[in-house]
Order: sequence, then structure tokens, then C-alpha cells
Amino acid sequence: MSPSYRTPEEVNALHERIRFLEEALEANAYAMDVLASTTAIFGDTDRNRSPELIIQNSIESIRRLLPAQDMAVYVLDNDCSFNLAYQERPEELEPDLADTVEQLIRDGQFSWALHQNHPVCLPSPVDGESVMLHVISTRTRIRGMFVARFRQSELQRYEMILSTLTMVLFNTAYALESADLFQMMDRRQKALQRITERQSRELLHHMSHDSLTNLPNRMLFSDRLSQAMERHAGAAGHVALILLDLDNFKRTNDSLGHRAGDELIRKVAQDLSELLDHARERSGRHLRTTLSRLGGDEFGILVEDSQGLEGIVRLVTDVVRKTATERQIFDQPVVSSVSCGIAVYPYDGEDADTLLGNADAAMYEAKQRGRNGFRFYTQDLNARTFRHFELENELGQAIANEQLVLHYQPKVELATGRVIGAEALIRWQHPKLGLLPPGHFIELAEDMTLIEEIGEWVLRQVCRDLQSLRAAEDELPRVAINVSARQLRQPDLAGGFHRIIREAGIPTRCIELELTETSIMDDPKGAARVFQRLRQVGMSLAVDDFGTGHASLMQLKQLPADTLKIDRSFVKDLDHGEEHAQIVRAIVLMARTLGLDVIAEGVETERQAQILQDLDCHTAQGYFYSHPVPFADFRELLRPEVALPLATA
Amino acid sequence: MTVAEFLEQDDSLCSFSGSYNTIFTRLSDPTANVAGITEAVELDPTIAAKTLRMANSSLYGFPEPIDTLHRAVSIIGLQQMRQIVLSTIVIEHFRGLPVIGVDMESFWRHSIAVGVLSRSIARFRREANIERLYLYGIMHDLGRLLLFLRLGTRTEELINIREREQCLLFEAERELLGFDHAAIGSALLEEWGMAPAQVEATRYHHAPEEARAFPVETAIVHVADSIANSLRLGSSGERFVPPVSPETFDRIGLEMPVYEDIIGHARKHLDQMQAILLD
Repeated sequence: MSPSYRTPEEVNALHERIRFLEEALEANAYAMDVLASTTAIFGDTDRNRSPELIIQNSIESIRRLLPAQDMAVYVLDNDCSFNLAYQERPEELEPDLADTVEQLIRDGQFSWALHQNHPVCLPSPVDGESVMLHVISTRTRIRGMFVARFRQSELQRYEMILSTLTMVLFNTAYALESADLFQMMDRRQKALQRITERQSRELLHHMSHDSLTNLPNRMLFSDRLSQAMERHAGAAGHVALILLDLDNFKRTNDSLGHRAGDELIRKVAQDLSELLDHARERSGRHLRTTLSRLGGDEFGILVEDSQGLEGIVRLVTDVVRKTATERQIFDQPVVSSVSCGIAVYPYDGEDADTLLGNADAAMYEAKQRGRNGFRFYTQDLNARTFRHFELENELGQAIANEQLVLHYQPKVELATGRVIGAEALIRWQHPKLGLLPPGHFIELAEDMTLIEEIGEWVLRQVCRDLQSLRAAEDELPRVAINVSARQLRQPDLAGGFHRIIREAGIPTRCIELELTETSIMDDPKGAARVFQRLRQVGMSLAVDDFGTGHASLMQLKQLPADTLKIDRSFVKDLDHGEEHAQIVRAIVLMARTLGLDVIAEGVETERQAQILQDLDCHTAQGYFYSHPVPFADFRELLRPEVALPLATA
Repeated sequence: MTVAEFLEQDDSLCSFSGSYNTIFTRLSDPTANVAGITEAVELDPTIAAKTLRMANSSLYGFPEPIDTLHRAVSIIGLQQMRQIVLSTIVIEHFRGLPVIGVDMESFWRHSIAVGVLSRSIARFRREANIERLYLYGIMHDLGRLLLFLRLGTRTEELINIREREQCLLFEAERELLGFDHAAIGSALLEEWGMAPAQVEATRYHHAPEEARAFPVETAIVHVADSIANSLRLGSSGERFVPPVSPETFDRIGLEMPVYEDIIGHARKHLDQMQAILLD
């Protein structure tokens, strides 16, 4: 066939057809392109799992396929109603696509289209336009509806592409479905996680607590005990473990039944925890206690940061007294007392098991001794705990029981042998242990904060003793008393001392305060401040144990002291060679240069006294002259006719 | 005798005449648009009227009357309309032929039933173009119609074999000719240039596990055929129900209870479709 046989109409038709085919080819190429990228729609990563994003991606694909006037996507919600999830040009074109859809829904065409799994073109209110509906559904479930407005002429040209639209929307439906599934899984996962967490918390509580009393059980208690011991290892303070056992609990159980027994346990537990709460309140909340039911009728109390062992005794006494009371158990009066055993870390054991065992032994001991009471792990006087505790307890009573006494060691003028004063030294007349020197109890007193009280007592006693001399003011000897580093930290030491002295009617110059060089060096500025104040009220000050601390000349110069006391260690070696004498000579020379008096302590031989005199030191104290003696004896020494041995040159 | 030789015996049976041919050719043009399809259908008033009645039938259930072919095409869809018109032409073309051995009314009722059932299964599977399965169903037994036409009085031999062997009719066909109606039908469709999916679905509708390229389409026609036979919705000469292969049933992926809905849906429309297509 040759073209010449074609009529012009046929040629036109062929032209038209070629143009159409070219367009179709181009459109198909687009369709292929879009299909190749449909995976972008899928919500299979965390990032694009939101329905909004999936719809956005789908619309972008469709926009490349079809030239729509307007597009919208409706999504089916859980209540089976369609919601507008996206509209390309909302409220821009008349009539609005959303309104057109409303009309289609009323006419039943919308629901009809839901069952057509292909694009459906319905007449539009606008001439020359069509409304296209396409359901968005997976094989099993309708997810939504795609709606678009087209010019009819355009739609006819893009007829070929409509099956691509179907595929894109099919993918969209699956993407929405999987996003939904992911969300559901996510929610379930979270719910499951919440439940698991709650249950593990409950389980943990269950495992670590007693079900009857809801108190920590033995497991948790042991754990807390170990923790507490770790906290206090190497640090100050102690951890006390108190084991409690109800006396004659078995009898209650046997006579009233197990339910009554349980009820009694519950009530005792409640009383104990209230009691411990009060104790904590009273202590200003620094007391730490853990109450536990260890099993049966046995309880454990863990006490940390009590004020000394005395605090524990107070607490246990309280526990024993208040637990031994009558309770109504199912309308039956039940009297139950407890026996307690106490073990203290670190004295009675280095680990939890030992401590528990020892507390148990102590409790057994308490039961043996007639119940309703408490026992420390051991009463052996050699046991550190007990001695410590007992001393502590007794020291508290010592002042009231007038067990503290003062001894005076005379200070002697070397040249004349005349007693010019004394150092007052404290002794504890212990009923069982005899006379104890300060080294045995002053440190303890400092721990217990009894030191202030004892310090005051010493000063008052000195004043009383001086008063009893009934001597003229200018004939009174000067008495030195020791002040500890801790006293130095009292806010108004000087004021307090001055008041006591004035009230006693003793001239302030008669009281000398001695501070060791070491304690001054611990806090030089504080010491200087206190010295300043003491000086203002007229008391004199001495630096004790001089030569053992590390005071610099500068610090010494700033300290308003009157006297340096040469430490006994230098004096002791004086008769052993020239080099020892040199040190003392240097100290004396320095003191004189700074305008200070010098006194030597620990003089035991005549030779020492002599050398001191040669070295220009004119006062001393020591056994060569007199041991510290009770006031009555010291008084004798003060008589003018008494002269202590002289060092004969 | 081979299938090819069988088809060559009478060319007139295998091609459409007059306006049917024109419509068929235009419909087969994949680039045709709405206007083109509409014009083609309007070439034959009978086809046009039947098509419009179909579009207004309960099968499509459009809430308003569709009064023009143009609207019908845009609402039902271009591809969908192609298949509807094609199936109508095929029925029109073959129903007037003198066939011995089978009641034409019953044959077409069976074919329409398989068409509607296939469409219904596809619908529950949410296939994109369910009319395509309708067409496959309607035309799946075309080969048997050709077979009966060719055999003429020899059809009796076929029936005798079936009775003697107590077998399915397609097995008797194989015994008599060496091939069955599925082979003939698929060859015819291939010659007409129908979609490969339809050719394969027709070829293997009695042996669906052999369908390689379009197993789902084949499975749907296979299952629909069995359902139509078991419900005695018309007959294409088969006395027994061809068994459903379990593998094929699984491939469709629908649960048993869904088939009650599928059958209900098909039954609801079958009589009306029959009335439209066969009156």
C-alpha cells in the first residue's frame, strides 16, 4: 500500500494517532519511573512509619502520574469513618473537593466506589471535569479513599496510567497497614515493658520483704547490714545490730492459734517501727535504723550513727520496755516481752555473718538470764566493746558521782625551793579500776562531747580549792589547768572561764591555762584568737610540751603567751651530754628574747635541776620535788616554812 | 489430529463476522480511549443495549441509573468495559450455532456462572480488575463448544466413553482425540490475541498446578468451575464435579467461610446476568 491511496482525512487520523501513541509512550515511561520508586511509600523504617508521611509520599508519586486539579486522601479511622487526611488545594477551587465528596457520600456513590478496585470516574458538578474515586485497600481491608478532580480531556489522555495509580494506591494501603501494625506492636511492646517493670519491682519487693509485716526480710537485712559495715569500715562510728525475739511466743501460738500469733507479730512490728521513727525524730534525723522481720518471731534492728554506744543502750532499753506490754489479740489480752542481743561492728565482728551470730549468742544469753532484757555480745571486761561502752556509761555519771578528783603538782622556784604554784591534773577515781590518769578517759570524753563539762568542773574545782586556802589575794598561788584542742573550739571559752573565776572571787592572774604546742599548731589562728581573749580578761597562758610541736618563731611571737614549758623529753636527757643542754639553752634564750617566762617539767634528779638553773631556767616541776598530790597535801606544801629540796650547786 | 489441525478445519467458527469483528478489533487496541471504546460498542445496537443493561445490573450496583455508554465506560472503567463487551460478543457469536450433545441454554448458564463466580472470588481477593476474571470464566469452556460443533454426531462417542469409564468429560475427550477442550479453547484465544493470562487460565483450568506464569488466575477459574459444577449451575456436559486440587485452593488464599459469601454474591446476580445476556 502506498500513501497516495490515503484520503486527507485518513492522513489526519494517522497523524492524530501517532501523536497519541507518542504521548502514551511518554506517559508509560513516567509510569514505569513511578513504579520503580514505589518502595519509597512503604513505611518500613522508623523514619517513615507515620501515616502522614506515607500519604505524603503517595501523593508525590501520583502527582508525577496525573495532572489533577485537586487531590485528597481520606483515611478510615478505628470507628470506621472516613477522615480527610490530606488535600492538595483546600478551599481554593469552587466547589471544594471535600464538599463534592460529601455530596458523593450522600448519594451513595462513595460507598459504591469502595467496592470497585479500580479508578472510578464520576460526573463532576463542573462542566468538562470528572471526579475520580479510588479505594485505598489491601487484599483484606479498606484503608481509605483517594479522590481527585480532573479535566475530562486530560483524563482520556492518561487513561493508560490508571492501572499504575491502582498499584500505587495498593502499595499505599499496605504501607498504612504495616505502619499500623508497627504502631500496634510498639504499643504492645511498651505495655509489656511497663507490666514487666512493675512486676519485677513487685517481685523484688516480694523477695526482699516479709509478707506478713511488709518489713525487709532476712535477705534485704543482711544486705543492708553489709552495706552499713562497708560505709563505716575505716571511718568513725559504729554499726549496732540488735536481734529481738518475742519471749514465749510459742505459747501464744499454741494457745491462741497461728492466726493470733501472726496478728501479734504484726502488732509488735508496727509498734517497733513507730518506736524507731520516734527515736529517729528525737535524734534530729541523723540516726539511721532498719527494722526487719528475720523470720518466725525474730526481728532485727540495724542502728547507724547513734551518738555513742550509750544511744544504743537507750534505744534498746526503750524497745524492751515498750514492747513488753499487753496487747489485744482477737479480744484476748496477750502480754509479750522481748529479749535482745546486741553486737557492734567493728568490735564484735568484721562481717555480717559473724555479727549476726554474735548478736544471736547475746540474745540467747539474755533469754538465759530471765528474758525481758538485753545483753551485749559479751560481758568479758577484756572485750573492747564492753569496756568501751561501760567506761562511756560510767564517765557520764562520774561528775555527778563525784568520782573526778584533782591532783596538784607543785611548781618550784629552783633557787629557793619555794612552791610558787601548781599544775592541776585530773584523775578519775573509778570504783573498780582505781585511780585513772587522764590518758584513759579524756579522749573518750572528747568523743562523747563530755569534755566541755569536765573542763568546767576542773576550773570550778580549782577555784573552790583556792578559796579554801583563805589566803590574801596576793598570797594565792597560780594554778595551771590544761585545755584541750577541742575546748579551744568552744565559741566563748574565755567568757565562760572568766565568769566562773569572777563568781568564785579569785583573781584572774591566779589561773593559768596550758595548751600543748601541738594543739596550737592544729589551728594557729583560732588559738591566737582565743589567747587574745583570755589575755584580755587577765588570765595567763602557757605553751605546754614546748619543743614537740613545730611552731615557728613567727607564730610564737604572734601568740600572746606568758610562759614556755620545756618538754620533759629535753629535761630528761639534760644530764646525758652537752648537746641536750644546748637545746634547752637555746629555748631559754629564745623565750627570754621574746619576753616569755620559762618552766621545765619532768625534773627528776638534782643534777637536772642544777643544770637548768645554770641554763638560766628558774622554775620547774617534777618528781624530784613532788608527785601530783591531793589538794590537802598540796596545801601543806604551800606553808611558808616548807621548802622542797634545793639543787646544790 | 492436532489442536492446530482441529482449528483449521473451519475458519468461520474461529473468527467474528461484521460489526463484531470491528468492535473486537477496536477493543483490542490497548491505546483506545473512552470515546473510542464507546464508539466501537455503539456499532452494534444489540451489544450496546446489553452492555448498558449490564452496567445497570445489580452486579455493579451503582446507586444511580447509567444512561449512556460513555458514562458506563467512565464509571465501570475502560479495561473493565472491554472485558464486559468482549464476553457479550462471544456469547452473541456462539449462542446461535447448531450444537449437538449439549443444551446451549445450560452451557451458557454454566459459563456465566463460572464468570460471575470467578469475578466474585477476585472481588473478595480485592483484585484490581475483576471484570477480567469474569471474561476468563465466561470463555473458559469455549473449546468444548468448538469440540461439539466439530464432532457433530460423533459427540455421542464421547458421551459413551464418559458413561463407560465413569470419568470426567475432559478425560473422555483426551481418550477420544488425544487432547481436551481446554487445549482447543486456549489455542483459539491465543489466535484471537487475547491476554496471556486468559490463555493460560483456560489451558490449565483442569490442571491448575501446571500454570506457571498466571497461577492465581488459573486457580480462580479452576475453583469457580468446580463450584459451578457442584451447585449444578448449568452444565457444559460434565456429569461429575471436577475435584479441586488443595494446593490450588490454598493459592487463592481465602478461608472456607468466605466462599459462602462468594457463592451468595454470585447466586444473587446470576439470574439477572443470564436474563440480560441470553434473552
